[in-house]
Amino acid sequence: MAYISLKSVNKKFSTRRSEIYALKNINMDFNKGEFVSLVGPSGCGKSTIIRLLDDILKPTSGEITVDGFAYNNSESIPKNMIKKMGFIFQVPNLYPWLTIRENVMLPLKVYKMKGPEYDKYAEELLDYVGLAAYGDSYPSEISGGMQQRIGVIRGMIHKPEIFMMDEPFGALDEDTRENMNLELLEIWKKTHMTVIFITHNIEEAVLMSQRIYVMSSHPGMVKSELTIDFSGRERNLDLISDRKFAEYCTDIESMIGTLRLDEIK
Amino acid sequence: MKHNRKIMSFLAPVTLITLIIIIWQAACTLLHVSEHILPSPSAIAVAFKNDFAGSILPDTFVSLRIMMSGYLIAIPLGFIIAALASQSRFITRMILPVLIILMMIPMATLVPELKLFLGVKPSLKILVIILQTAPVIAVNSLSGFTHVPQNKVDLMKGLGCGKPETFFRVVLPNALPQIFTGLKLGCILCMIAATAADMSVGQGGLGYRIARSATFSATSTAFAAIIVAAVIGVAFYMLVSLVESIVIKWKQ
Repeated sequence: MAYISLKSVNKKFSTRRSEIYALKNINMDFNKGEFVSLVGPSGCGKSTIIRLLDDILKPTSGEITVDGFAYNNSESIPKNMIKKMGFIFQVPNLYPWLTIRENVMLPLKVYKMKGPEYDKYAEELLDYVGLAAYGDSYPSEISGGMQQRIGVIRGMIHKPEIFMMDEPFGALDEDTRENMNLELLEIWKKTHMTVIFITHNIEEAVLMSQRIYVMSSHPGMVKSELTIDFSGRERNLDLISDRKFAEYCTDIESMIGTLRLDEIK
Repeated sequence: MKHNRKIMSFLAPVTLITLIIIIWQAACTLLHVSEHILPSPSAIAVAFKNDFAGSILPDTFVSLRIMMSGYLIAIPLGFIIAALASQSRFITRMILPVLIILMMIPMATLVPELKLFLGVKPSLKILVIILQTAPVIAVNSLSGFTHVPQNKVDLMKGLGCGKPETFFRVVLPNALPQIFTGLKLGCILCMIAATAADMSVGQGGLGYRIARSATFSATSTAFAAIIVAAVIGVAFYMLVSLVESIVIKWKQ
């Protein structure tokens, strides 16, 4: 059985006028240590999927299993289960009343993980994203790009096994974005985390992922599943000039393009 | 530069106040205004000096005591009402209009009614202050508790935190700026309510001194008491603002 699995998952949102299917009959599997991206037009429910996995939202129906633990729709999931997950938001989502260091260490506080080794790890991560000097500053005192980097390391401070990212680098400039992607790949290789990565940048998805789910919107459904295979070549920027890389990108782009056309019709 | 700005923000109002006092004094002297109609600043200063130990100071203590008692009860009361009401959207909707109505009613006008039930006691004045200040503290805190950005709550949910933990880690700190707005409005209303309660209840206090002096045409003493009340109000407000700047470090 897969490490993470969603079976016939539906998620309905009720608005005043109607009910909207954000997700309809979603079946997905994620293997341990795998890097999987979800791509698709806006409104396809890709963010909703990871929100279900992190217990931020509850599914309307269907089965979710993570590491052998079956989510029950009504009950909340125990903290030691949630602890296995790290979540990165589209926006930095830092708490303005906490200093940068306190923001980074928030998950540790919640999970009552104390000790010098954790303090040291926090400093290492701050140093890693080049913000060691800003530990005692408040979020309002640093730029948006810096804040987003803090948001990323906050998601990994408690050494999660599953790392979920909701278009984490969308707001960053091209250079920073590329650097962050490469850094993320390094982290993934080192930590063997299971990564679920949401992006609308197809090249980003192809560069990083082993598998990609392409989704369609209204309702959100899995349109297709692709395995990205560069026959064992190392993932780095050299891949971008590879013919296979371009093929994958074109395939996915045309798939999403058709989806958009369908929607217009 | 920062130092200069500090001096400016102190000098600017002081200059205006000095100017007003000078014009006031000059107008009273040059136009020969009766001291019983509008006393000059110098006449007020004399009255202040003469009546300070005998009446103004004891009355100030009476006022301070009831204000502090009322305010210090109103803070936790308003706060608890807001914290409980924020737990359910239904209760919030139910209680908010009532709080707003209570906030708008000048409570001192209810003194004759309250006297019928409670008799004339010092606690009557404290009750007036509580009724006047607790709603404004509750309304502002409640608004802070109920307007938390979804993302901030989602972060807590994503970390597996329940409602109580989310309240203390996110809802409360997020609401602090609004809570302090309520506390500052509360100290303004507290001064007004205390003075008005003194006037209709009696039994000492600055409001009582103002009403009584006015009755006996001791207008300069009334003015001296009014100025003391104003100074207390300003000092009180500044004290709460100081606490605010210590608690809310991140907004500076």
